[in-house]
Amino acid sequence: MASNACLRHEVIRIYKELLYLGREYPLGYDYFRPRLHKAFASQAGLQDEEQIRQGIKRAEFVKKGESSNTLVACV
Amino acid sequence: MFRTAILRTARAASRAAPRFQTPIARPAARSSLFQSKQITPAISFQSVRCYSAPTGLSKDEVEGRILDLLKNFDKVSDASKLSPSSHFSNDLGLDSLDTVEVVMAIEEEFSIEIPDKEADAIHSIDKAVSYILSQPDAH
Repeated sequence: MASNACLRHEVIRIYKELLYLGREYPLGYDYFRPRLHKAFASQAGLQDEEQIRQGIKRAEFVKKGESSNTLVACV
Repeated sequence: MFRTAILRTARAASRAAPRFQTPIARPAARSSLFQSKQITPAISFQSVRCYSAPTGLSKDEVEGRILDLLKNFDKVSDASKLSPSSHFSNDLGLDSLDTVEVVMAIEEEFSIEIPDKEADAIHSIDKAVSYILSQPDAH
């Protein structure tokens, strides 16, 4: 249970970071936000710890692409 | 200001010293010191400012600002359900990700940073209000 709460915070943290980065998204924040939300919501059913870690890794990957201003389809 | 006044009197005194005898130089120095004493208080009083006063955020003000913020949040499905006691997910139809966004907006509105643990506990408007009221550096 403790690691679950920890994972939850990690997901929320990366979600926040991506939201902050999304403000400079070329197509606009209003385009970015619903898509990011959808991408995260589609993974909401994950129960397996390993799968969640994989998801976080993918988010980190998107973050790197985002911050170096490469266009990465985030969905 | 005081230092320059002292320097000026010292310079005046040293300039005066070789010309006159000491009894005459002294009154000149004393009079200029007296002048500087008259000037300095007015200037030093200007620099006194009180930072100890509380910011004075009232409960109504915090509540109003949070309600306004939620009114402008496009995910809130039914604005008529907005009330000071409404729950983010039960009443307003927001999911946990939306709640994160609301908390972020609240952070920006009051220019504070809410740590993850506290942010996790904010599920409703009245909880957010009581958290903001408990933060002394919220604006």
